[in-house]
Amino acid sequence: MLHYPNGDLFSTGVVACEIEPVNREQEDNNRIILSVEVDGALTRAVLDTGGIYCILHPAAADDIQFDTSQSIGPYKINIRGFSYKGSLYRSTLRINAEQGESLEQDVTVFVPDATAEEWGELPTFLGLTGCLEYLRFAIDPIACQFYFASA
Amino acid sequence: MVAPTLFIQNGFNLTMGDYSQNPPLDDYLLSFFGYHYSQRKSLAEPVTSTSSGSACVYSLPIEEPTIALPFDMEMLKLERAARLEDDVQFAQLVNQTDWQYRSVDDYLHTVQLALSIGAHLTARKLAMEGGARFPDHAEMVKHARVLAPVRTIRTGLPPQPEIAANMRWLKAHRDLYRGKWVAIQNGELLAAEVSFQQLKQIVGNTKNTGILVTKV
Repeated sequence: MLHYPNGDLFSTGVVACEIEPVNREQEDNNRIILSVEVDGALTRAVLDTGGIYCILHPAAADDIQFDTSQSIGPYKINIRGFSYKGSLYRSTLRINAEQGESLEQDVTVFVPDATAEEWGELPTFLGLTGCLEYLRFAIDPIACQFYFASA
Repeated sequence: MVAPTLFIQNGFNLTMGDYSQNPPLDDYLLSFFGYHYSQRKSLAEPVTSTSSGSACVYSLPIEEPTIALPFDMEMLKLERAARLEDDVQFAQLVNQTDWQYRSVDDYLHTVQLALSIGAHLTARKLAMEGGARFPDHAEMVKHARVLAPVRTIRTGLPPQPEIAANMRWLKAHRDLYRGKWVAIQNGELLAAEVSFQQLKQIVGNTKNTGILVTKV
């Protein structure tokens, strides 16, 4: 685990991450990709500190079957230059540790009005506002390790 | 509150303040009188020396007698900023508004405007304030709950090393399964299909199963 100079823990968990393009045929930039759980559904998610909310892949949303009476919207959100319509929910994001402790946070989730096929290779996105804002994290880009703790 | 700058003269003429050219004003009038802006005629060039700023006089085919309009300048400005997708001005206007006299509908409408232009922090601030002020209003409370800051629910949960095994499988087999939907569990391939629907017919609902479904 990582520590502050005074010995306090900086991170309580660590898990492997991918640092590469989500889809080599469609982009030529590396992304930090994690495997996380949203309300019990596993999904590959890109760390998107310039984004907002947890934008959930419809394949995962399909399994979760959100209660639409608990949503707000619909609203449009821009993702990679395209505008997507969808609704906002509250749900549980679990980051599983490979070593150390896993943790769960209550986050805002945007569920696009799209099928899994339409969303395709686009991943789930973990944005800053409403999702990563209370997660302390650090990345080892050589060993591809994601260190994290509740902030 | 900003003083009203619009009133009816002689039953048919309107004097408008410096918002006379704004589309939201037409929408606002439409909601009261069933009038359309294309029907209005200007009776005078804009006057710039009035105490409330520039003004125009218009003739409108409306049937209401002379009344003072409940002209909500603050909401009109917010709607205008939202229409122009000016999130900076929108946030400034929200901060200038005295929300303690505002209704739950005003809160909800402004939260929705904020979300529509991507002013997510402003939407959160208003939703939280509105939720605290109107704790018995289900829709307001729902907005506050959905847009609230992140809250840590549980820490100290056991590790799950098998999650990393799925990542390793993807890294090792990506080129072989490119373009296919795959289901992986504990680092082992369960199924690979061309379409998501075909894969789901095989693996079913994967919630709480530890199965990762993804397109490679």
